[in-house]
Amino acid sequence: MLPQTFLPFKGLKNKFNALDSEAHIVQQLKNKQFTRAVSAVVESYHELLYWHIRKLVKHHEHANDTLQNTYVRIFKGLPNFGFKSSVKTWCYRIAYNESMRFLQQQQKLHYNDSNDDTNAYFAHLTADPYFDFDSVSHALHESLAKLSEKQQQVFQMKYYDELTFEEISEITSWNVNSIKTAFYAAKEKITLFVTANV
Amino acid sequence: MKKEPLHNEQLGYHTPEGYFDQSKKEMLRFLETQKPVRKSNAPIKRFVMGLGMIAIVIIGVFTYNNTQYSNDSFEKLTIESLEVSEEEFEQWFDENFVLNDI
Repeated sequence: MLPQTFLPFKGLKNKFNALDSEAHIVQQLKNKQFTRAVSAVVESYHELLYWHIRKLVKHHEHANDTLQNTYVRIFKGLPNFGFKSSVKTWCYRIAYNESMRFLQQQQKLHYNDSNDDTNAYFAHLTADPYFDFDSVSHALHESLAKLSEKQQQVFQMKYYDELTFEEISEITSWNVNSIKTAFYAAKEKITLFVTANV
Repeated sequence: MKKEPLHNEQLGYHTPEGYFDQSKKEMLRFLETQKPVRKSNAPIKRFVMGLGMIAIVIIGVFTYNNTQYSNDSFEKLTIESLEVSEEEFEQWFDENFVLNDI
């Protein structure tokens, strides 16, 4: 690990910390210490995975349940981890798939609730007691509601989760070029909408 | 990596107080009751056994067809032999037996 004096920038320090925790988890996996590895995953990626899921499922309670299911899958899958991607990306992928599974179940339960996508988006958000509408930029949420599902997901993963296009591609199994297109289209729409409405 | 302020301020997503510390402990406690699952070799074994069975069936069918073919050609030979005329037979008989004796 690098001495703290060599890490003057916060972003750089975070990157080194992330690499450090990744190396630690990989070491535990190679030693076949799976319980320790999953503890290290929880320690390192708990907050990241929660916010990744929260942005997809929106409600806090749903995010909490989905996160628990994600950990169960991570724990059961760790002994078979193939080292083809980083542990972080692999965990994000499981969290993404688990969120998609949850959303599909929800769609089956609430089929045809509303024909208006924007109304449905806000109705869903405001139903959560842990959502504070007053403090939020209305324009940002309105512009997000107007994006396609893919554009929303790509924008949030890139902008809030700070994932690379390659990582998003590994998580979602979408083509890198289509992700780039979706991101730049989303960015343009949001910028236009926010500028016009602020 | 603290992402909470960004999500609170820009997206309005909040969490109960002390949620992350509390839920971390709960998740770890919950995971202690779970067991990791090792991938078993059973599907691979079943696949190899399946391949073996298919190979046996293919070899069996191939061998049976070959036997059939040899039987067919024997029958064909016997039937063709009926078509040999008396004259041809006599000539053949003379050449091979009578003339050889002389």
